[in-house]
Amino acid sequence: MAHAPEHIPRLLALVRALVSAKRLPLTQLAEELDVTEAELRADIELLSLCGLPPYGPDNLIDIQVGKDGLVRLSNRVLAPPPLQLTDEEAAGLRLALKLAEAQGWPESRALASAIRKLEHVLLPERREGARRLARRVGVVVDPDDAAGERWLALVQRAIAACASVDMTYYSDGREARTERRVDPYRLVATEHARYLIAFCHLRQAVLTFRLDRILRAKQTAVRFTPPAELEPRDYLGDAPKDAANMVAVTVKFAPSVGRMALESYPAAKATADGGALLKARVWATFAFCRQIVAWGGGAEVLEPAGVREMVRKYARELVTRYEER
Amino acid sequence: MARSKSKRLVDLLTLLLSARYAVSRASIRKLEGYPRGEEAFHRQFERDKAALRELGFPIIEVGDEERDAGYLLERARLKLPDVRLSPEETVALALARRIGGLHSLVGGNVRQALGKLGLIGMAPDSTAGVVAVAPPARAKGEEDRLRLIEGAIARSQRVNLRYRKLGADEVSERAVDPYGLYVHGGGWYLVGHDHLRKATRTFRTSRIEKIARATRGAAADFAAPKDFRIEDYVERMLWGGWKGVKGDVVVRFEPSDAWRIERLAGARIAVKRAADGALLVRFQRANPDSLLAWVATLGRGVTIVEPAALRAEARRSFERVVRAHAGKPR
Repeated sequence: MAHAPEHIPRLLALVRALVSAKRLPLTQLAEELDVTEAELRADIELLSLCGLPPYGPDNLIDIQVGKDGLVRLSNRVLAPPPLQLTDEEAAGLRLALKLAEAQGWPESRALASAIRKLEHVLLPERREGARRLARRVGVVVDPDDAAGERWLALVQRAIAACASVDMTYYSDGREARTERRVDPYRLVATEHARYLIAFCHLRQAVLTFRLDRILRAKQTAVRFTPPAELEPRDYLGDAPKDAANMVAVTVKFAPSVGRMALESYPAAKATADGGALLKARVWATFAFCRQIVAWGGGAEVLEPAGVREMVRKYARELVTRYEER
Repeated sequence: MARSKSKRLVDLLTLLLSARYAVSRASIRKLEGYPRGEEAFHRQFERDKAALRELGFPIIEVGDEERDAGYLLERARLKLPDVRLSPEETVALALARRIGGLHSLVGGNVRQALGKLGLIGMAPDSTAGVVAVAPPARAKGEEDRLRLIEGAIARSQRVNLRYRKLGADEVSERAVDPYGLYVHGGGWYLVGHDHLRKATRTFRTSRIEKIARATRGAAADFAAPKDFRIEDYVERMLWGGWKGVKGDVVVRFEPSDAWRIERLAGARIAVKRAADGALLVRFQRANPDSLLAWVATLGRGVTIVEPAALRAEARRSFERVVRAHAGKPR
């Protein structure tokens, strides 16, 4: 559980949400407050014990979860008004704006104007403090990601309209570009990249596409019916639906890069010589080869032999490029 | 323990928010969870006041020699005046929560801000197409560490840290004046004046084993450079000249990879087209280490042309990979 000072804003946010909405689904509140349902239930139980002396029914916060999964607030023992933000909270909004702009979200403009409005009503010293802090906390984007995702808006519109999209896509795994038609289902943001989950007419399967690898896209007049249910984790992450096609690899890291390997791969284990050993399931693609090559000889694929040979060939080809001319 | 503290603070806020006049110490002492003894109550109440002030609640003390002290929330500094947001702006704030939530520090701050504004529970359907998937395992303690650093930056307060440098086994203790903080490729970095090295240094926060404020009290310990902007600093450090090297680097993009160039941001590149359709990109005053690492992630269509020494270094690096994978594993 969060320790008390950060716990308080969450408890107040919960009460505040219910003061205006009266009742809200437990699942939605858990998602928006970024807690598990069990943690949220614990919060609700705690709040129901809070109030004023003599702590009778009229003095306690009347909050509970119904059998219908709705959280209800039935009195106003605690009814916080909209509250002034701290420097950190206001700066957090600006930092989110930096992220949104760096990633090319079309909502960035509306976000910027919302932040302007909010900062306008902040206490002058908080406004100044937030802006000063926002200049000191930043987001750094690699050069080729910087102007990255110009197709974000188009993809969002196509998802909303259930319209098929014709696109040119650069496959990192195959290092090749292809033309294909896709039915865009879902946009997924992770810590590192934005992805489109879509039905691909070329491969006749639901696939994941990195948005910054879409080189060109055009919405078509063709409409599709989206699937009723779609679980993003089936397509992204460590255990996707088609994990059967992944390959179990063992990678050895030299002592010189051992610590860095442990930092890069949480699943890696330290070895006695100061190096590291990674056993993982990966897609045996050129993208994996590049990952190994980037260690400059500090990483060695031990098995399977096929992947080891693929990495060797790939690196050999890179050397050839440097022998030419 | 934490639960009873949370309950006591919520009770205290409930009392202060519902009061029209100053609340006496006697009424506060009646709240559950306060110790009986005067001295113990005093200490606990002082800590609670400090905690709530840190969260932005302006508790002020009123009273004089005639009457006992009373406490109230200064309304003008408590409430946020009405803000009229358009539906698009509300949607955008919900998106900020989702994409901010993917990163330590940002998510918590944005969520807290929206919670205070009453914008939790209003998720509009328009962002339903966007799903945010948080990393499955987040380093424990990272969020707390980042919050402490951010607070120290906001208030210009020195921190002591125990730092384990990458590739070095020894751990060093340093006093740092924190200037800024940035996130890059999933990791957070602290930039500040390192009193050990007497220079501005960058620390990866996940390698900080222990961190604490160096001083007590609310006063500032140092004055950061006046016009410090974290993005400018990182731009110079990461992509600009570094370690004394300030040369240009020329990188060749085969026609198959020419599309990458359209995306390169920044005025620091000059592009020339070769006869065969490849693009020759000159990075001005580039940091060779960063550039080499970056090129290695791009694959077979991108090669370093100049300077010759860097080209040779790239080649040696790939040759090492070939050697490491030749024959059977030893």
